[in-house]
Amino acid sequence: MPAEQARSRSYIACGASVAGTRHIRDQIPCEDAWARVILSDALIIAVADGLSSAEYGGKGAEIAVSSSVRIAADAYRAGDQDITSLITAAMGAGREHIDNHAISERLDISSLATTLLMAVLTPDGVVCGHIGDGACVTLSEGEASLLSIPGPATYANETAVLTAQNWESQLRISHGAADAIICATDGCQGALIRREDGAYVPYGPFVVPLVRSLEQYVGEGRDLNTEIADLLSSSRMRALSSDDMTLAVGFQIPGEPF
Amino acid sequence: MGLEKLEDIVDIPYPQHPHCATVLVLDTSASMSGNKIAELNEGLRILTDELKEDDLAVKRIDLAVITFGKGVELVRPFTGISAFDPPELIAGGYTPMGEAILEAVRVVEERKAEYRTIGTDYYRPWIFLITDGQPTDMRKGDETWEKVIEAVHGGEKDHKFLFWALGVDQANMTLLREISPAGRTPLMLKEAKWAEMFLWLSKSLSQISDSRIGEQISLENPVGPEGWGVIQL
Repeated sequence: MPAEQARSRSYIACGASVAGTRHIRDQIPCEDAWARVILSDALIIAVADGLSSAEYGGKGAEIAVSSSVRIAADAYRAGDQDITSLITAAMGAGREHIDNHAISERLDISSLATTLLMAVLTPDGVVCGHIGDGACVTLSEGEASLLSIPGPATYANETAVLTAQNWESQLRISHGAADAIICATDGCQGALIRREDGAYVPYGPFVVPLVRSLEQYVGEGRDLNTEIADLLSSSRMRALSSDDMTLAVGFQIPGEPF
Repeated sequence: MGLEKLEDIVDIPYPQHPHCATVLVLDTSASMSGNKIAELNEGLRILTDELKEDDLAVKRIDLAVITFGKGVELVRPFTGISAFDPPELIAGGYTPMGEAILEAVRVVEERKAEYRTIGTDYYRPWIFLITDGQPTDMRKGDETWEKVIEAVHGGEKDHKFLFWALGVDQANMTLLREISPAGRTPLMLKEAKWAEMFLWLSKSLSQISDSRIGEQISLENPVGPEGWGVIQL
């Protein structure tokens, strides 16, 4: 993902993936990925976490996000207004691209295992498709809400993956109202969502000022991707987890196209 | 003055660490008297000291100790590493291994229920059995034996925990193999390798506590030339 900031009309999308401290220590590149497509009246964001246990998990994550946002954007441009089916089809196509890569490289698809979270923001609200862990939180009229939480897993080091045969049965679709969406892989999901009395709740003190500041930075001409990468590389974020971290944010700038 | 950074503006919460419940099920029967119980006690101190040096293990490992000798006793309930005080074990009595294993399975399930109640994520727990003999409270085929086999084999099959068995000295490895889950061959401790074994356990728990989603942990091979264990066929 080039570190340029994407702009189109009133939608803004920005984000970063950074290697976790354990990957840095072991000299393993970041195996998270994110991608976005901005359309005139919609914004599509995907984040993915390639599994360390999979030899080419990072490649799987990269293919998953780049293919799925592109295919979703093509379908949206072609007039597909059923966002739920559009997301399901795009994620399925993302998996197919991973499978094609596996076949051409003579790999088992499990060696490209990855999670995938994809959100489509339109003036009608947001729809999220999610397989595995990670989280998506929304802001609507200044209030933070959970849109999608980590998928059910018995243990902390287990997750569902897009590359599994039964991926579709693991797919969770969520809908909500949103002015802004914040998507994270598991490495930094702990900043967006917290456990309270056994249940997840959104963590407003992180999410709300994050979006407000990014909105402000647009006006100041700051590079939003760099700002997010710096945040993820800070020692306090690193304390959350030694995993790779990806944070992607989408929002609208009120008023005229930027 | 430079521009304000995001990290100065947003509130980054304290991490909520997943926990890993680990139970040591230790033989303290009379046959462990002398050097063996001294080595075991020293091993527990080594394990505690090593884990206390590991920042993540301190936050994530909850350690419990069950002994079987003069009865079955939970000598240390689950305790975080920073507060864990290694017990000074004394040898004596028979070898009620069956009851001790069932107790370990019970406390692991109880601990997981507590994690779920308070909403703490957790790793698959570990049960680590060390014995120098054979059970005196069950015989192959009797009711306790069947319960133990069902608990261990069924528990592993259902991913409830990981069960490791380690034999020392005159341990009945044939029985240990039958108690152990499929694919988890019990290991025999090489003579005088107690410290190495507890260091391996410490390293393994450190690795687990730093494992990321979906990762298959490749533990250091304990039966390699430098390892502490052998597979006795």
